[in-house]
Amino acid sequence: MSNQKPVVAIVDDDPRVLESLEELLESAGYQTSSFASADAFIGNGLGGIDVLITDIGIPGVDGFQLRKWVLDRKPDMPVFLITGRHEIADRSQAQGITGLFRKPYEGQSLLAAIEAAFGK
Amino acid sequence: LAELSASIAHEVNQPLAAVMNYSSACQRWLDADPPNIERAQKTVERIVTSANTAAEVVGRVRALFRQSSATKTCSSLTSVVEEVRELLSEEIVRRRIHLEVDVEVGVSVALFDRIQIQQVLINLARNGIEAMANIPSEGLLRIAVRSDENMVRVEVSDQGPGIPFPERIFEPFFTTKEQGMGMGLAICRSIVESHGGKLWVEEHKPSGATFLFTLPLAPLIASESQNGNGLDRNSK
Repeated sequence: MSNQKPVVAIVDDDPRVLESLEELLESAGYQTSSFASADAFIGNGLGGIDVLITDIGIPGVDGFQLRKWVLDRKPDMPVFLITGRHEIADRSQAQGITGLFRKPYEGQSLLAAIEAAFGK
Repeated sequence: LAELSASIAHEVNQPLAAVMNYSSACQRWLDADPPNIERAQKTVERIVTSANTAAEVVGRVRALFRQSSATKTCSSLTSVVEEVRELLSEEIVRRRIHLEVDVEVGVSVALFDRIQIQQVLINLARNGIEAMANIPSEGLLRIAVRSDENMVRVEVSDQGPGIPFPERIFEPFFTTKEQGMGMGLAICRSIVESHGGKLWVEEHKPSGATFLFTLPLAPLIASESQNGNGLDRNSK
C-alpha cells in the first residue's frame, strides 16, 4: 500500500449532506470527491476512486442503478448506499444489500464499515 | 398522509444526517493528536446550522397544520399590499422587475391575520419574481385587489414561463425550484383556507401565471355605498 490517502467518492443531491460527509471522511483521513448526481459521477469515471458512497434517491440514475454500474466494472469496489427515505430501504430491491445506511446514521459506524472494507 | 409523513421524515432526516456526520467529525478532530481545534470549531458551527434547518422544517410543518389563529385583527388589504411593496422594494430593483399595484378603493375585508396574509402575498410575489428571472425583457409583476360578489379577490400575475403542474404545486414538498423546500404554496393555501378563502392558479395570457386567492368581505360595509345606508350587503 502506498501512503496516499484512499479517495472516497460521494454522490448526493443535497449539498448539506454532501458537505457533512466530506467533513466526516476528511476527519478520518480520507480524500473526498463529491458529485451531485450519478451522471456526474459516471462522467468522471472510476479512475482514482477507491470507495463509493451514494444516496439512493437522487435524480436520474438512482443509487441502486449506480451501485450496479460500478460493480459491473469494478466488482471489488466497496459501495455504500445511504437514504433518508426509509421506505426505500424497506423495498425488496434493498434486501440483501450490505452497506446500506439509513439517515441519520452514526458517523462512526459508516467509517468503521469503510475501514473494514479496506481490511478485507 | 403516509406520503406526506414520509416526505416530512425525509426533510428532517437530511439535516439530521448532516448533524450526525458533523458530530462524528468533530469528535475525531478533538481526539486527534494534537487536537484540531480550528476544524472542530468550524464543525460545531455546521452542527448548529444543520440543527436549525431541521428545526425550521418542523416549524414549517407546524405552520402548515396550524389552525386558524386568534389574531385576526386586520381589515385593510391596502395597508398589507403597501407593506409587501415596501418589503420587496429592494429585490424588485435588483431583479429589474416592474411592480404594478391596483387596489380597488373602499373594499372592506373580514378581519384577517395581517402577518399570515402578508406571508401569503410575499410568497406569491417572490414566486412571480423568481419565475421571471430568465425572461429577456423587464418583467412585470402585478398585484390586484378586486371585490367580487361576497368575496375579495387578490391576484398576483407574472410573465414567467407559466406553471407546468398547476395542481401539484400546492402539494407539500413538491417544488420546481432547485433550492426550494416545496412548502410555500402548501402553507399559503392552508392559510387562505383557514380564513375561509380559496387559493388557485390560472394561466396568464399571453405568458406567465396568475395566482388568485379570495377572502370573505366584511359582514358590515361601513364605507359609503350606492344605497347610502352602508348596510346593504351581508348585514349580520
